[in-house]
Amino acid sequence: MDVPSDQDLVRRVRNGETQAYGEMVRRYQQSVFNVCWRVLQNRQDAEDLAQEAFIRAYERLDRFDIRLPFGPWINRIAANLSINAVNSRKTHFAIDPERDAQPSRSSTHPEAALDRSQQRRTVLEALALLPPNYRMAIELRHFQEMTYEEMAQSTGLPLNTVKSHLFRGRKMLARILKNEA
Amino acid sequence: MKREHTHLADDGLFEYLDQELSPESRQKIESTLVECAECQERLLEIRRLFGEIESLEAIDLERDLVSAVMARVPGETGFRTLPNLSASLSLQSLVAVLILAASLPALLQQASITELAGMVQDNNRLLLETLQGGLAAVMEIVTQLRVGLEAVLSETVALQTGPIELVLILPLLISTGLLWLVGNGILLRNLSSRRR
Repeated sequence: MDVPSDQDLVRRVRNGETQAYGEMVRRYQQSVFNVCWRVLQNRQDAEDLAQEAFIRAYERLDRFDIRLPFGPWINRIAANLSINAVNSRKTHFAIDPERDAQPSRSSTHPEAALDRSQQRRTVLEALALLPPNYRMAIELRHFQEMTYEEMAQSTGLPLNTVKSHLFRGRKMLARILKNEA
Repeated sequence: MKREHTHLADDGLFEYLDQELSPESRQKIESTLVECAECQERLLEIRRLFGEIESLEAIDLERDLVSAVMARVPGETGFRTLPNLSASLSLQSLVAVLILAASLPALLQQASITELAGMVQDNNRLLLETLQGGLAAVMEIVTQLRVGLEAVLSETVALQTGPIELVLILPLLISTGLLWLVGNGILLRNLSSRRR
């Protein structure tokens, strides 16, 4: 039996077959969770927010342009929710101490996997040290591939402010990584 | 003798790599990069940083979100209003076309094209002001529209009441019909393009 495309699933949901949305969630939960996790750096918060992102997407599904890919759309919803969550809490989020304890599923050679895991740990720890606004800017630019203008629209901040957050975040990250090396 | 120059700032290199510069600014940066080994080295360092950020692997989700999400989405009828909306808009558009078609012969008898255009323009303005006035005013227009439509469809009533009443009603009908047609047409087009 053919695997239904995202477009087919969206059409089915719109026609009242709600259960088809479960397949959409199954397909994109991993990437949506990672968007939230990179910004929040806390597993529990990221899982809760990922769930919220799917509910928001369902509520707005009638406004989704079916000609466009679903993945970037839901990821942007998740990114915006994460931004709002960070902005609503003025303090830093609690950093999850076990945030990268598990090795990647794609690793096949144990030594190479260990090196990659170590490198990833270093970058993640550096990212976690950034102020949330800088981390958000890096998420939007490097993972959501937004332009500066789109970043400004998503965050509701002036263009120069988002550029400043992005540039400062990168410089701070570079400094931290240099000190770690 | 080597020409002295200022090294490129990181911010400029960020914008260059982000492809956010104008063609002229991009050209200037590329000219400097060709001449300056230090700037080239700095660009490579920034590229490496970007690579490190973007090579972050995904971490695994430890619990399945499907059941939690599905428990919160509405039941089977959540999106069934969309086809009904399309049908409703199509019907409304058809009514608007009928109004316009029915009004045309009577109008041609009553007014020149210039007068007609003036009346439609005046009534468009009047209609918009009325719509802004609130729901009560809108209901009044709908009532007038119904009365006018009935009169036109019965072919004789409005014509027999004399040119003064016809002049009052028909431009209003045309204005309403045009606004209705354009509004519904845009909505229908957007709906169909999204759903295709």
